[in-house]
Amino acid sequence: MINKSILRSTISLMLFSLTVAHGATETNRLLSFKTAISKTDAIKEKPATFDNWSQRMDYIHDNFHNVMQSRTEATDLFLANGTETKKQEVPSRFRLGLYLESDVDEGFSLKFDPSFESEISLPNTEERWKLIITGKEIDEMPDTKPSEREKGFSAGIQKGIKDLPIKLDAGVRIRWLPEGFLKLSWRTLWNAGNWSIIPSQKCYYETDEGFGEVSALSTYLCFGEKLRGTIGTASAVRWSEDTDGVEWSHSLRLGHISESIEKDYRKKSIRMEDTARGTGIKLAVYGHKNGTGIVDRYRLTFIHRRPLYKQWVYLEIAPEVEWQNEYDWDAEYTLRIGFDMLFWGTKTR
Amino acid sequence: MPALSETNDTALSSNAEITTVATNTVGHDASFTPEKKKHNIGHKMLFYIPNRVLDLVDIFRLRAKVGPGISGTLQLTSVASFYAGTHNTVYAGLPGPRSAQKKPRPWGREKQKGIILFGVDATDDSLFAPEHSPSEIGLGLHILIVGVDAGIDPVEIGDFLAGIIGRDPKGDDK
Repeated sequence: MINKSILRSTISLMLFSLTVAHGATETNRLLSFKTAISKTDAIKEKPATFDNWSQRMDYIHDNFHNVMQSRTEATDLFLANGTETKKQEVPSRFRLGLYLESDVDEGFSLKFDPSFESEISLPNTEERWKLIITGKEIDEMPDTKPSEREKGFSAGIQKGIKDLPIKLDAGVRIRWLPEGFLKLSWRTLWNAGNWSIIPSQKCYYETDEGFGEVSALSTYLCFGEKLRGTIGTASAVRWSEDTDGVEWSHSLRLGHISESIEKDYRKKSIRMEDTARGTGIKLAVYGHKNGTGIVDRYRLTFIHRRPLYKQWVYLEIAPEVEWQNEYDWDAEYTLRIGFDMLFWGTKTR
Repeated sequence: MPALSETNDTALSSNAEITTVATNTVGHDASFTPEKKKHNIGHKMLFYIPNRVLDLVDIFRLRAKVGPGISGTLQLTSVASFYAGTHNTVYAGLPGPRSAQKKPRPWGREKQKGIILFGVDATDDSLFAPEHSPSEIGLGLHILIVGVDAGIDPVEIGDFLAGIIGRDPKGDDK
């Protein structure tokens, strides 16, 4: 009988190899890739000293995207066997979040939670794969806070199925110890008047936790003057070989969006991170079912977002109170402050 | 190359053997890769033990720092290096991998101010800027008057192991 941990380690190793070393049999291609990702010509000359911190911020913003873009182009060429045919028309997008969470009950103890998301366009390999790098977890449910994610980030490749909203991801969760994953996901958006309905389904295999699935349904309604008011619900269930039965969550949110990051957000999904300036309130309930259904916790969150520096650094302030079954429903207060930075390769962002 | 920001502080420096200052974290190759010297067997035997000790010391960085400042640094190779803050300190401890720019010293001065984000360097040029190997993995924290800086270089581990059997892939043997 094959030892389960050996089998999982083997699959993890295979996925890692698939992710980072496709076609890496040619040493010269690897060397040119190494050179390309470290080339300096994407960087503007650095002043000897900066006059102020705003100048540093602008320098970082101007160069960060150029550097990351040159790295993704190098990756694109590497995956496309070095035969460049298409230039990137849509710049890749990178998003870095730095969050501090303070637990008021524990004497204002602080927790630092960075997050990183990217939408990387690889025109030469897009027919085959996309590259994904994200701090989000593979089995994440809606309403997951950055501080609830396990440390590390996921890096992998994604293959979309033509004309269908289905994607196959394979990659590795980079952390100690690395964990391989395979995910098949379906997500679509239906618009009906001012309503948006977003069902999604994902099935996955993680080398650490085994098989699992997450089903979710989100709904949004825009209302009021200029449709700036939003009301929405998000429900999800998760099961895996590692969970205690079935875990579920349900949330109700109400918000006012004074300014959005992208103009056409209403035809996509409405998440707080799509808001440039706005305020919202969310009540969420979490539980699990293993024989009898049990409510694990309630969470009430107030969120305010506003631009902090130009149009690419946003401040997010989110005080919240949580009541957990585990602690006899005593109220726990936390305050989350986050800095959300966008590197989208445009003039303003 | 941009002008260096400091001209009057050199007397305070214990890093008197500085030759150049790296200007960009991204793309700069601060690893010590000089042309390999041919040594005869006698020289190799004489310097075998000192070279192994130096190779071993190259693997680790562990320095204590004293001086005003507040800063944090995270380096997961030069491609994913981060820094924010300002500090002006003296340090003592294991200096980390040898580089072409600075000879390693177990003590010295370190000064840095600015931000580094994913290797994009927006710090002021400084004669006393810290120098990390491109393959180094490490953490640093400086709070008010004390700080610590720790790191490890996997490439140097390979160089040390290869050195035991008489190889010198980094070409840094004396």
